[in-house]
Amino acid sequence: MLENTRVIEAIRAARKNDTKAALATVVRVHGSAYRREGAKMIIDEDEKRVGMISGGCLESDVAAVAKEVIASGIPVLKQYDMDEDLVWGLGLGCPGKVEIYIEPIS
Amino acid sequence: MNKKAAFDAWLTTIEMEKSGAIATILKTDQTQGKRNSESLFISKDHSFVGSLGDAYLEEQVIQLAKQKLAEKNPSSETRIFQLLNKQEVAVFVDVFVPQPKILIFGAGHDAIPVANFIASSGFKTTIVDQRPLYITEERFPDIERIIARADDFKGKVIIDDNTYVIVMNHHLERDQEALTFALNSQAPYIGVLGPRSRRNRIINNIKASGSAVTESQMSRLYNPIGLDIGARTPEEIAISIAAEIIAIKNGYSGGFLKDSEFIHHASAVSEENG
Repeated sequence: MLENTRVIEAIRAARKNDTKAALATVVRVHGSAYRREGAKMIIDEDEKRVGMISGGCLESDVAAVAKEVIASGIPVLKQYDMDEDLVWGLGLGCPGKVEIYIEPIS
Repeated sequence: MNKKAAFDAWLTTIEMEKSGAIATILKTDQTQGKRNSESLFISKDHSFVGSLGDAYLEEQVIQLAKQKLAEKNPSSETRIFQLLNKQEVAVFVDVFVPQPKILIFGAGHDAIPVANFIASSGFKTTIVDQRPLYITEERFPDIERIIARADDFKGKVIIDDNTYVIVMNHHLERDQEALTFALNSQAPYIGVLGPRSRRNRIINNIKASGSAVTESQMSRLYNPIGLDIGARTPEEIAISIAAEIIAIKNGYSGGFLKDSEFIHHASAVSEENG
Protein backbone atom coordinates (compact mmCIF):
# COMPACT_ATOMS: atom_id res chain seq x y z
CA MET A 1 0.00 0.00 0.00
CA LEU A 2 2.84 2.32 0.91
CA GLU A 3 4.53 1.31 -2.34
CA ASN A 4 1.51 2.22 -4.41
CA THR A 5 1.25 5.59 -2.68
CA ARG A 6 4.76 6.32 -3.95
CA VAL A 7 3.69 5.27 -7.44
CA ILE A 8 0.67 7.58 -7.31
CA GLU A 9 2.94 10.45 -6.29
CA ALA A 10 5.20 9.65 -9.24
CA ILE A 11 2.20 9.65 -11.61
CA ARG A 12 1.21 13.10 -10.35
CA ALA A 13 4.77 14.34 -10.73
CA ALA A 14 5.04 13.00 -14.29
CA ARG A 15 1.82 14.76 -15.23
CA LYS A 16 2.87 17.99 -13.65
CA ASN A 17 6.23 17.98 -15.41
CA ASP A 18 4.68 16.87 -18.71
CA THR A 19 6.85 13.78 -18.70
CA LYS A 20 5.51 10.88 -20.76
CA ALA A 21 5.14 7.70 -18.76
CA ALA A 22 3.58 4.25 -18.63
CA LEU A 23 1.96 2.46 -15.73
CA ALA A 24 2.53 -1.27 -15.30
CA THR A 25 0.07 -3.14 -13.09
CA VAL A 26 0.07 -6.80 -12.05
CA VAL A 27 -3.42 -7.88 -13.15
CA ARG A 28 -3.29 -11.64 -12.84
CA VAL A 29 -1.13 -14.06 -10.91
CA HIS A 30 -1.09 -17.85 -11.09
CA GLY A 31 1.01 -19.52 -8.44
CA SER A 32 3.26 -17.88 -5.91
CA ALA A 33 4.48 -14.68 -7.46
CA TYR A 34 6.25 -12.23 -5.16
CA ARG A 35 3.88 -9.37 -5.88
CA ARG A 36 0.11 -9.67 -5.99
CA GLU A 37 -2.62 -8.23 -8.21
CA GLY A 38 -2.64 -4.46 -7.99
CA ALA A 39 1.13 -4.01 -7.55
CA LYS A 40 2.30 -1.12 -9.70
CA MET A 41 5.36 0.39 -11.29
CA ILE A 42 5.58 3.62 -13.24
CA ILE A 43 8.21 4.00 -15.93
CA ASP A 44 8.83 7.40 -17.48
CA GLU A 45 10.35 8.27 -20.85
CA ASP A 46 13.78 8.59 -19.22
CA GLU A 47 13.30 5.01 -17.98
CA LYS A 48 13.09 6.14 -14.40
CA ARG A 49 11.10 3.61 -12.39
CA VAL A 50 9.10 3.85 -9.18
CA GLY A 51 7.47 0.83 -7.56
CA MET A 52 7.88 -2.91 -7.88
CA ILE A 53 5.92 -5.52 -9.83
CA SER A 54 8.00 -8.62 -9.15
CA GLY A 55 10.92 -9.73 -7.07
CA GLY A 56 13.23 -8.12 -9.61
CA CYS A 57 12.94 -10.50 -12.56
CA LEU A 58 10.47 -8.62 -14.71
CA GLU A 59 11.22 -4.98 -14.10
CA SER A 60 13.77 -4.62 -16.91
CA ASP A 61 11.65 -6.34 -19.51
CA VAL A 62 8.53 -4.43 -18.50
CA ALA A 63 10.50 -1.19 -18.72
CA ALA A 64 11.43 -2.08 -22.31
CA VAL A 65 7.78 -2.76 -23.17
CA ALA A 66 6.81 0.47 -21.43
CA LYS A 67 9.08 2.36 -23.81
CA GLU A 68 7.09 0.99 -26.76
CA VAL A 69 3.82 1.77 -24.99
CA ILE A 70 4.90 5.36 -24.40
CA ALA A 71 5.85 5.67 -28.07
CA SER A 72 2.71 4.03 -29.51
CA GLY A 73 0.16 5.17 -26.93
CA ILE A 74 -1.42 1.71 -27.07
CA PRO A 75 -1.65 -0.40 -23.91
CA VAL A 76 -0.16 -3.89 -23.84
CA LEU A 77 -1.14 -6.94 -21.82
CA LYS A 78 1.98 -8.98 -21.33
CA GLN A 79 2.08 -12.52 -19.99
CA TYR A 80 5.14 -13.91 -18.29
CA ASP A 81 5.36 -17.62 -17.70
CA MET A 82 8.39 -17.99 -15.54
CA ASP A 83 10.05 -21.35 -15.48
CA GLU A 84 10.37 -22.15 -11.81
CA ASP A 85 13.66 -24.05 -12.09
CA LEU A 86 15.27 -21.41 -14.22
CA VAL A 87 14.11 -18.54 -12.02
CA TRP A 88 14.97 -20.23 -8.76
CA GLY A 89 18.26 -21.32 -10.29
CA LEU A 90 19.09 -17.68 -10.88
CA GLY A 91 18.17 -16.95 -7.31
CA LEU A 92 15.52 -14.43 -8.28
CA GLY A 93 12.72 -16.22 -6.53
CA CYS A 94 9.64 -15.27 -8.47
CA PRO A 95 8.15 -18.30 -10.17
CA GLY A 96 4.62 -18.52 -11.48
CA LYS A 97 2.63 -17.01 -14.28
CA VAL A 98 2.06 -13.29 -14.15
CA GLU A 99 0.12 -10.96 -16.41
CA ILE A 100 1.07 -7.31 -16.50
CA TYR A 101 -0.95 -4.55 -18.08
CA ILE A 102 1.15 -1.69 -19.33
CA GLU A 103 -0.75 1.45 -20.26
CA PRO A 104 0.28 4.95 -21.25
CA ILE A 105 -0.48 7.77 -18.84
CA SER A 106 -0.14 11.38 -19.72
CA MET B 1 -11.34 10.57 -22.86
CA ASN B 2 -13.51 8.77 -20.33
CA LYS B 3 -10.48 6.62 -19.56
CA LYS B 4 -8.67 9.67 -18.30
CA ALA B 5 -11.63 10.84 -16.21
CA ALA B 6 -11.94 7.45 -14.51
CA PHE B 7 -8.20 7.32 -13.88
CA ASP B 8 -8.21 10.86 -12.44
CA ALA B 9 -11.08 10.01 -10.11
CA TRP B 10 -9.14 6.94 -9.01
CA LEU B 11 -5.99 8.97 -8.28
CA THR B 12 -7.98 11.53 -6.31
CA THR B 13 -9.62 8.81 -4.23
CA ILE B 14 -6.25 7.34 -3.33
CA GLU B 15 -4.87 10.73 -2.42
CA MET B 16 -7.86 11.49 -0.25
CA GLU B 17 -7.47 8.09 1.41
CA LYS B 18 -10.95 6.93 0.50
CA SER B 19 -12.04 3.52 -0.76
CA GLY B 20 -12.64 3.05 -4.45
CA ALA B 21 -12.18 0.73 -7.40
CA ILE B 22 -11.21 1.12 -11.04
CA ALA B 23 -12.24 -1.44 -13.62
CA THR B 24 -10.24 -1.62 -16.86
CA ILE B 25 -10.92 -3.79 -19.87
CA LEU B 26 -7.76 -5.75 -20.60
CA LYS B 27 -7.27 -5.74 -24.30
CA THR B 28 -6.50 -9.01 -26.00
CA ASP B 29 -5.83 -9.56 -29.68
CA GLN B 30 -9.55 -9.94 -30.33
CA THR B 31 -10.49 -6.70 -28.68
CA GLN B 32 -7.43 -4.75 -29.78
CA GLY B 33 -8.45 -1.83 -31.88
CA LYS B 34 -12.15 -2.36 -31.27
CA ARG B 35 -12.10 -1.08 -27.75
CA ASN B 36 -10.15 1.94 -26.74
CA SER B 37 -8.82 1.35 -23.26
CA GLU B 38 -12.03 1.79 -21.36
CA SER B 39 -12.16 2.30 -17.61
CA LEU B 40 -14.84 2.78 -15.02
CA PHE B 41 -14.26 4.19 -11.57
CA ILE B 42 -16.56 3.11 -8.74
CA SER B 43 -16.45 4.95 -5.41
CA LYS B 44 -17.36 3.45 -2.06
CA ASP B 45 -20.60 5.43 -2.01
CA HIS B 46 -21.38 4.03 -5.47
CA SER B 47 -20.82 7.02 -7.69
CA PHE B 48 -19.29 6.29 -11.09
CA VAL B 49 -16.90 8.00 -13.47
CA GLY B 50 -16.13 6.77 -16.98
CA SER B 51 -17.57 3.84 -18.86
CA LEU B 52 -16.78 0.35 -20.12
CA GLY B 53 -18.79 0.93 -23.28
CA ASP B 54 -21.30 -1.85 -22.59
CA ALA B 55 -24.19 -1.50 -20.14
CA TYR B 56 -24.55 -5.24 -19.52
CA LEU B 57 -20.83 -5.55 -18.74
CA GLU B 58 -20.87 -2.50 -16.50
CA GLU B 59 -23.73 -3.90 -14.48
CA GLN B 60 -21.73 -7.05 -13.70
CA VAL B 61 -18.51 -5.17 -13.01
CA ILE B 62 -20.22 -2.69 -10.69
CA GLN B 63 -21.73 -5.54 -8.73
CA LEU B 64 -18.30 -7.11 -8.25
CA ALA B 65 -16.72 -3.77 -7.32
CA LYS B 66 -19.45 -3.02 -4.76
CA GLN B 67 -18.97 -6.44 -3.24
CA LYS B 68 -15.21 -5.91 -2.98
CA LEU B 69 -15.58 -2.41 -1.53
CA ALA B 70 -17.79 -3.85 1.22
CA GLU B 71 -15.06 -6.33 2.20
CA LYS B 72 -12.62 -5.58 4.99
CA ASN B 73 -9.49 -6.56 3.14
CA PRO B 74 -10.38 -6.79 -0.57
CA SER B 75 -7.95 -7.90 -3.23
CA SER B 76 -7.61 -6.64 -6.77
CA GLU B 77 -8.56 -9.21 -9.37
CA THR B 78 -9.03 -9.95 -13.08
CA ARG B 79 -12.33 -11.59 -13.98
CA ILE B 80 -13.71 -12.82 -17.26
CA PHE B 81 -17.16 -11.47 -18.05
CA GLN B 82 -19.49 -12.50 -20.81
CA LEU B 83 -21.20 -9.94 -22.99
CA LEU B 84 -24.73 -10.46 -24.28
CA ASN B 85 -23.28 -11.69 -27.59
CA LYS B 86 -21.31 -14.33 -25.60
CA GLN B 87 -18.02 -12.62 -26.29
CA GLU B 88 -15.68 -12.86 -23.30
CA VAL B 89 -13.94 -9.83 -21.89
CA ALA B 90 -11.24 -9.74 -19.22
CA VAL B 91 -11.69 -6.88 -16.76
CA PHE B 92 -9.19 -5.97 -14.09
CA VAL B 93 -10.82 -4.59 -10.97
CA ASP B 94 -8.25 -2.71 -8.91
CA VAL B 95 -9.46 -1.97 -5.40
CA PHE B 96 -7.98 0.64 -3.12
CA VAL B 97 -8.71 0.78 0.57
CA PRO B 98 -7.12 3.40 2.81
CA GLN B 99 -3.93 2.69 4.66
CA PRO B 100 -4.62 1.18 8.08
CA LYS B 101 -3.67 3.32 11.05
CA ILE B 102 -1.72 2.54 14.19
CA LEU B 103 -2.07 4.35 17.46
CA ILE B 104 0.56 3.74 20.10
CA PHE B 105 0.04 4.82 23.70
CA GLY B 106 3.40 5.27 25.40
CA ALA B 107 6.56 6.76 23.88
CA GLY B 108 9.10 4.85 25.93
CA HIS B 109 12.39 3.51 24.62
CA ASP B 110 10.81 0.26 23.42
CA ALA B 111 8.13 2.13 21.45
CA ILE B 112 10.80 3.45 19.05
CA PRO B 113 11.31 0.19 17.10
CA VAL B 114 7.57 -0.57 17.28
CA ALA B 115 6.63 2.79 15.76
CA ASN B 116 9.35 2.72 13.14
CA PHE B 117 8.87 -0.90 11.96
CA ILE B 118 5.16 -0.46 11.77
CA ALA B 119 5.31 2.88 9.96
CA SER B 120 7.67 1.42 7.35
CA SER B 121 5.23 -1.48 6.86
CA GLY B 122 2.73 1.02 5.50
CA PHE B 123 0.62 1.89 8.53
CA LYS B 124 -0.15 5.53 9.18
CA THR B 125 1.33 5.75 12.64
CA THR B 126 0.54 8.03 15.56
CA ILE B 127 2.07 8.00 19.02
CA VAL B 128 0.53 9.45 22.18
CA ASP B 129 2.25 10.30 25.45
CA GLN B 130 1.95 13.00 28.06
CA ARG B 131 5.70 13.43 28.44
CA PRO B 132 7.11 15.99 25.98
CA LEU B 133 10.68 14.82 26.63
CA TYR B 134 9.88 11.34 25.37
CA ILE B 135 7.63 12.12 22.46
CA THR B 136 10.15 14.00 20.31
CA GLU B 137 10.71 14.20 16.59
CA GLU B 138 14.22 12.91 17.08
CA ARG B 139 12.92 9.67 18.58
CA PHE B 140 9.90 9.34 16.28
CA PRO B 141 10.68 10.89 12.90
CA ASP B 142 7.87 10.74 10.32
CA ILE B 143 5.39 9.68 12.97
CA GLU B 144 2.51 11.84 14.10
CA ARG B 145 3.03 12.79 17.73
CA ILE B 146 0.29 13.81 20.13
CA ILE B 147 1.13 15.10 23.58
CA ALA B 148 -1.93 14.34 25.65
CA ARG B 149 -3.10 13.25 29.06
CA ALA B 150 -6.10 10.98 29.50
CA ASP B 151 -8.37 14.01 29.96
CA ASP B 152 -7.37 15.24 26.49
CA PHE B 153 -7.83 11.95 24.62
CA LYS B 154 -11.40 12.71 23.61
CA GLY B 155 -10.50 15.98 21.92
CA LYS B 156 -7.10 15.07 20.49
CA VAL B 157 -7.02 11.35 19.73
CA ILE B 158 -9.15 9.65 17.06
CA ILE B 159 -9.66 5.90 16.89
CA ASP B 160 -11.83 4.56 14.03
CA ASP B 161 -12.57 1.05 12.78
CA ASN B 162 -9.36 1.12 10.73
CA THR B 163 -7.09 1.98 13.68
CA TYR B 164 -5.00 -0.68 15.40
CA VAL B 165 -4.13 0.30 18.97
CA ILE B 166 -1.05 -0.62 21.00
CA VAL B 167 -0.98 0.17 24.72
CA MET B 168 2.56 0.26 26.09
CA ASN B 169 2.94 2.99 28.69
CA HIS B 170 4.77 0.81 31.23
CA HIS B 171 2.59 2.55 33.78
CA LEU B 172 -0.42 0.85 35.31
CA GLU B 173 -2.68 3.91 35.62
CA ARG B 174 -1.85 5.32 32.20
CA ASP B 175 -2.37 1.91 30.61
CA GLN B 176 -5.71 1.74 32.35
CA GLU B 177 -6.71 5.16 31.02
CA ALA B 178 -5.55 4.36 27.49
CA LEU B 179 -7.27 0.99 27.54
CA THR B 180 -10.54 2.46 28.82
CA PHE B 181 -10.44 4.94 25.95
CA ALA B 182 -9.54 2.30 23.36
CA LEU B 183 -12.12 -0.23 24.53
CA ASN B 184 -14.83 2.36 23.91
CA SER B 185 -13.77 2.75 20.27
CA GLN B 186 -14.29 0.67 17.12
CA ALA B 187 -10.63 -0.39 17.00
CA PRO B 188 -10.34 -3.90 15.50
CA TYR B 189 -7.23 -4.57 17.58
CA ILE B 190 -6.12 -3.39 21.01
CA GLY B 191 -2.78 -4.90 22.01
CA VAL B 192 -1.63 -4.49 25.58
CA LEU B 193 2.03 -5.01 26.48
CA GLY B 194 2.78 -7.06 29.57
CA PRO B 195 1.77 -10.36 31.13
CA ARG B 196 -1.74 -11.71 31.56
CA SER B 197 -1.78 -11.01 35.32
CA ARG B 198 -1.14 -7.33 34.69
CA ARG B 199 -3.86 -7.18 32.09
CA ASN B 200 -6.30 -8.81 34.51
CA ARG B 201 -5.41 -6.24 37.12
CA ILE B 202 -6.10 -3.40 34.67
CA ILE B 203 -9.40 -4.92 33.55
CA ASN B 204 -10.46 -5.41 37.17
CA ASN B 205 -9.59 -1.79 37.93
CA ILE B 206 -11.66 -0.63 34.95
CA LYS B 207 -14.63 -2.70 36.14
CA ALA B 208 -14.15 -1.43 39.71
CA SER B 209 -14.27 2.14 38.44
CA GLY B 210 -17.79 1.43 37.22
CA SER B 211 -17.25 0.71 33.50
CA ALA B 212 -18.58 -2.52 32.08
CA VAL B 213 -16.25 -4.53 29.85
CA THR B 214 -18.21 -6.52 27.30
CA GLU B 215 -17.30 -9.78 25.60
CA SER B 216 -17.04 -7.99 22.25
CA GLN B 217 -14.56 -5.56 23.77
CA MET B 218 -12.54 -8.42 25.24
CA SER B 219 -12.49 -10.20 21.86
CA ARG B 220 -10.58 -7.26 20.37
CA LEU B 221 -8.08 -7.22 23.23
CA TYR B 222 -4.76 -8.91 22.51
CA ASN B 223 -2.62 -9.80 25.51
CA PRO B 224 0.06 -10.93 25.90
CA ILE B 225 0.83 -8.93 22.80
CA GLY B 226 2.56 -10.26 19.69
CA LEU B 227 3.17 -13.43 17.73
CA ASP B 228 4.80 -16.27 19.63
CA ILE B 229 8.38 -15.99 18.34
CA GLY B 230 10.16 -15.87 21.68
CA ALA B 231 10.95 -12.17 21.27
CA ARG B 232 13.20 -10.68 23.97
CA THR B 233 14.85 -7.47 22.81
CA PRO B 234 12.81 -4.32 22.02
CA GLU B 235 13.45 -4.91 18.31
CA GLU B 236 12.35 -8.54 18.44
CA ILE B 237 9.26 -7.57 20.40
CA ALA B 238 8.51 -4.85 17.84
CA ILE B 239 8.68 -7.42 15.02
CA SER B 240 6.43 -9.75 16.98
CA ILE B 241 3.84 -6.98 17.50
CA ALA B 242 4.04 -5.78 13.89
CA ALA B 243 3.65 -9.36 12.64
CA GLU B 244 0.58 -9.90 14.81
CA ILE B 245 -1.07 -6.74 13.53
CA ILE B 246 -0.28 -7.56 9.88
CA ALA B 247 -1.74 -11.06 10.37
CA ILE B 248 -4.95 -9.68 11.87
CA LYS B 249 -5.29 -7.01 9.18
CA ASN B 250 -4.94 -9.67 6.47
CA GLY B 251 -7.18 -12.18 8.23
CA TYR B 252 -4.42 -14.70 8.93
CA SER B 253 -3.61 -16.57 12.13
CA GLY B 254 0.21 -16.53 11.97
CA GLY B 255 2.49 -19.55 12.24
CA PHE B 256 5.05 -21.16 9.96
CA LEU B 257 4.52 -21.38 6.20
CA LYS B 258 6.86 -24.38 6.10
CA ASP B 259 5.25 -27.21 4.10
CA SER B 260 2.14 -25.16 3.26
CA GLU B 261 0.87 -25.68 -0.23
CA PHE B 262 -0.06 -22.02 -0.72
CA ILE B 263 1.44 -18.79 0.51
CA HIS B 264 -1.75 -16.74 0.31
CA HIS B 265 -5.25 -17.96 1.10
CA ALA B 266 -6.68 -15.79 -1.65
CA SER B 267 -4.45 -17.31 -4.30
CA ALA B 268 -5.47 -20.76 -3.11
CA VAL B 269 -9.10 -19.81 -3.53
CA SER B 270 -8.70 -18.26 -6.97
CA GLU B 271 -6.64 -21.27 -8.12
CA GLU B 272 -9.49 -23.53 -7.10
CA ASN B 273 -12.02 -21.40 -8.86
CA GLY B 274 -9.87 -21.42 -11.97
